[in-house]
Amino acid sequence: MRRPRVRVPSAPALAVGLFLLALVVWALAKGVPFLDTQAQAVYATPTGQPAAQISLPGKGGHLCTTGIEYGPQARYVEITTRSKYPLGPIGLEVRAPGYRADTTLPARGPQNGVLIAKIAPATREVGGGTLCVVNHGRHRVIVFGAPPGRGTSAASTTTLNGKPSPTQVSITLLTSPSASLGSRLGAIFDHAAAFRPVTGWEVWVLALLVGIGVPIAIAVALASAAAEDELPRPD
Amino acid sequence: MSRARAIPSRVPLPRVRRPSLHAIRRIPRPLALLLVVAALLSGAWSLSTAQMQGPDEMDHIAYVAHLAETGKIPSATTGNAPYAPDQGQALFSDGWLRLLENRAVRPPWSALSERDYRKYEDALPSGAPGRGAGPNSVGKNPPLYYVYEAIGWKLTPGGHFFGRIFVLRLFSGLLLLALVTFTWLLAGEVFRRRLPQTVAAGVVALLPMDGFMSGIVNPDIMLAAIYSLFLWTAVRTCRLGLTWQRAVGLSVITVAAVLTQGRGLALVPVLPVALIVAWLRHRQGLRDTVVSAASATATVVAGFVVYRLASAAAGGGAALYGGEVNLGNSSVFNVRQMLSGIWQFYLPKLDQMAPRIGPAIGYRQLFVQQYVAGVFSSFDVYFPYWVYDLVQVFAGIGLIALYSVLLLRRRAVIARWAPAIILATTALVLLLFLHVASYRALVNGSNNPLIVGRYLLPLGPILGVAAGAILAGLPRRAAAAVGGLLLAGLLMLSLGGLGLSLERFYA
Repeated sequence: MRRPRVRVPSAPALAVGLFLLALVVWALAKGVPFLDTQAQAVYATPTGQPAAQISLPGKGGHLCTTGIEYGPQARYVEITTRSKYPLGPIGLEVRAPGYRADTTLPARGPQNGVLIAKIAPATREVGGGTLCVVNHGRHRVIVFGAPPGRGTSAASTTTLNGKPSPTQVSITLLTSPSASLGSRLGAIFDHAAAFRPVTGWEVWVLALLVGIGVPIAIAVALASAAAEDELPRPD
Repeated sequence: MSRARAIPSRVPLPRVRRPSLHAIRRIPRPLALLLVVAALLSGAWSLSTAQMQGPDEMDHIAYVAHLAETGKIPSATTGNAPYAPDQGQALFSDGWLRLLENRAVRPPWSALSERDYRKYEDALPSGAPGRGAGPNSVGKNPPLYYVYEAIGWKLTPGGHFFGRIFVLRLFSGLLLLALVTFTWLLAGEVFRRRLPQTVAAGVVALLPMDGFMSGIVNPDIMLAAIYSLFLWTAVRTCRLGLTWQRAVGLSVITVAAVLTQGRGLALVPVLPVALIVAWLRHRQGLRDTVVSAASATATVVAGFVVYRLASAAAGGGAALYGGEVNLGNSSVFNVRQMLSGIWQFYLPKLDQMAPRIGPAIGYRQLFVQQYVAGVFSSFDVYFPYWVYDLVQVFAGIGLIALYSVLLLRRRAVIARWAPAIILATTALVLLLFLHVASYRALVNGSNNPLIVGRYLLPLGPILGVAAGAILAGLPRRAAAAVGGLLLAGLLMLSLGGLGLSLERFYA
């Protein structure tokens, strides 16, 4: 009785096969979930991250920041607050030349974290805007901001009831509070192309070359090198 | 009878054929493909890392700008405007400084902000762009890399600031291609088979830190390329024999390293070792030996003169170089304490040892996290910790495999003793140099241990050859399988790092 012959793959086939198999397994196990990661779609961060506190008085206290840019994709405003007492209504006055989108967040219980308010987007990109946080409640509210120094923006000033505040309010403008990275690849590549002599499409082309072309090139290099070693040496 | 003839173990000098144009045109396919891979990855790193966010990148750019516009090295200590008006506007008003090491902040990317910046830039008086007055924290660096980048600065069409950063980063990318090419040539000197050679160069092309550092403006990538050129030339000299031309070549490369970065000084002690090994390998006659030694010495002296001139241009005397040659207070330098610190960097503390001074870092942070796997941007883009754990496990397996292969194939290693000595000496001298510089900094009261993963970039070719050596010691099919998996792992790290960088800056 003949025993079945087991074909052992050649060295080039082994190198390329294992290389591609490892990549495919990694792409399925880690790459796809990474692209499916839900995160905020940021439109702009006109000021620094929340690391200091500004005490905003109640009954109409105004905390205003200048030098903000709005646009069609700026649909949400995020600020960070803290209050020991129930939070009264918080008004957001969103203004820029030819653009106004005021909104009010309803009263809620004691708060310690981010507040996200939906705003009507501008029809076009517009600079020189302001954003005022108005405390319509009875109690003081802590609004988080960036302390003076490297984290602040020189293009932006903050005033508390009309008086300059050294701490700038931390503001993040969002396109969406939650969206997958994969669904935003086009926007991400457009952002990467900004301030560079390339377009978002060219970044797409490079991404495809890196994601598909690079593995193929390495596989061919491995196969070519392993096949060369299989040849008898001309001595 | 000459002395050379009297020694039976002498290896005769082979005749060297000049490479024909045909041979130059015929770049081996694996190398050509690896160069394409390196170029694509470098370009991707350049785009995925926001401008001026690499380690000290804003200062390196200011150095290039100052040198290109004034022909002078910026001062490290004096001046009242570290950055030129165009760079200052970008950093302070447009938010690029706020972005640094601040993961919650994004760079400006709207068309409006780009137009506004361009308007500001166009309104600047001619002669203002690029002319910062200092002080510049990297002004102590020697000028070779910045001279090279100044060519890119001058050649940028339109002369706009961000366009120039784009071109400067492309120039850094070219140095990765040089690094891959010289590693390929070095591995070709060491291995007879193509696969180990390909994997050695592939390791360098795919190592995430190599791609990242070639995608930003930083002299470390040039130092790595110069190290790879030195290693290839030294090993080749050992094979072909020491001539005065090759001695001069090695010395010029050493001088280039010293004029690129303070850490290039670590190549100086390797130069005599390489020359002695090459001489021992062939044992030329007395006259040839004297001429070679004199040529090398003359070149190093000429390099020293260039260094003094560059030093004078930087403001004189000890202005060039920083912690690498700054002895600080020598009375606090304690060799026993330093050796104890080096021991504890790699191994558990012994009972009789005093605790190591400085932050609690060790080989894992330096080799695994910051070099093999990588930490990107200005340390604010990094992998989840399980990735570093996994890389540490595989690095340990790799070390055991290398040790086993060297032991099992010791006859082959002994036959290649010359390259082995040069590679080992280069690695050990650089590591010792880094530890001494780190100890000096710490013992003089600094909180910064001055030892980070990117300083290990010059070891890339040696890492590649070590990987190739493991493969060369395996049967062909096993070598092919291990080589495929190794390059797959490094590519995963590179693609993962690129994804994390894009997410941090542009999502």
